[in-house]
Amino acid sequence: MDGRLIFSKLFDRTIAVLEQSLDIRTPRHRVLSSNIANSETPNYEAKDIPFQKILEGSMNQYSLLNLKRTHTKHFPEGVITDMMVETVPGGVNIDQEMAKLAENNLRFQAEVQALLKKIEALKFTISETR
Amino acid sequence: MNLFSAMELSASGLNAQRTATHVISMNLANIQTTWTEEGGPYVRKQAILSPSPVSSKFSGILANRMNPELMGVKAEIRVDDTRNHEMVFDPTHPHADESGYVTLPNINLLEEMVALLSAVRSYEANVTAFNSAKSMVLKSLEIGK
Repeated sequence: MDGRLIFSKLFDRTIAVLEQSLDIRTPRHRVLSSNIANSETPNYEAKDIPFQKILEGSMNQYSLLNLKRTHTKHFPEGVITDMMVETVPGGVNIDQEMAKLAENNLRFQAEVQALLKKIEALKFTISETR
Repeated sequence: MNLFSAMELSASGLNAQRTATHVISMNLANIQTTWTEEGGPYVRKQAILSPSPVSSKFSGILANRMNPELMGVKAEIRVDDTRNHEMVFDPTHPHADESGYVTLPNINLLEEMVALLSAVRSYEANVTAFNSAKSMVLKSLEIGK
């Protein structure tokens, strides 16, 4: 089998998608922490990162810098999520922010778990066929 | 790392809320203080919160430059409370004026207790955000184990 084909079979899109997703989770946590820290600040506007929109964009090979890719199997360049902070109209709703924070945290844990399982499966395959 | 600056943001929130509880404690402790060094009764103090960039550390400054819209919070203590002082008739009091009235600090006990509860709740919210960041860092250390 062609070496390149083995590589693309081993590291399919699962890992790439999970990586992208985790890349958005971390800055989103930052944004939510900032909202919670400023929950009592007068005239402070809540912010958020539109997770769904960015992930969909990166999965549709949408890229911010529009770098040329010479091969269809190349991954798109990393999404610069920090630039995509949106202002949510109205002040900080602490319940909503805490809910978002919990959701973001749990999904982060779940995604890391999925990544671990993926790597575990790869390791298993490598060691069993030796 | 991104999550560490999230921790710094939460820490600034913790710091600000702690300052707020200190100010409230000071008000409560001085609820009967009829004379201060500056003269006159004790005047209620307030912690005013405002957004501020976090930390002097390199990572904090870098993160701040990269996305300046994300702010921590800082508290400053202000004395610009203009509400009226309560006057009590007590001619035997050493701080009574010529007509026998003593001016009490302009502190409302109930108001202070509610502000205290609110500050403690906000503090707890920041602790939750901090712990959440910590668990995310710990979990990401497991990748590739």
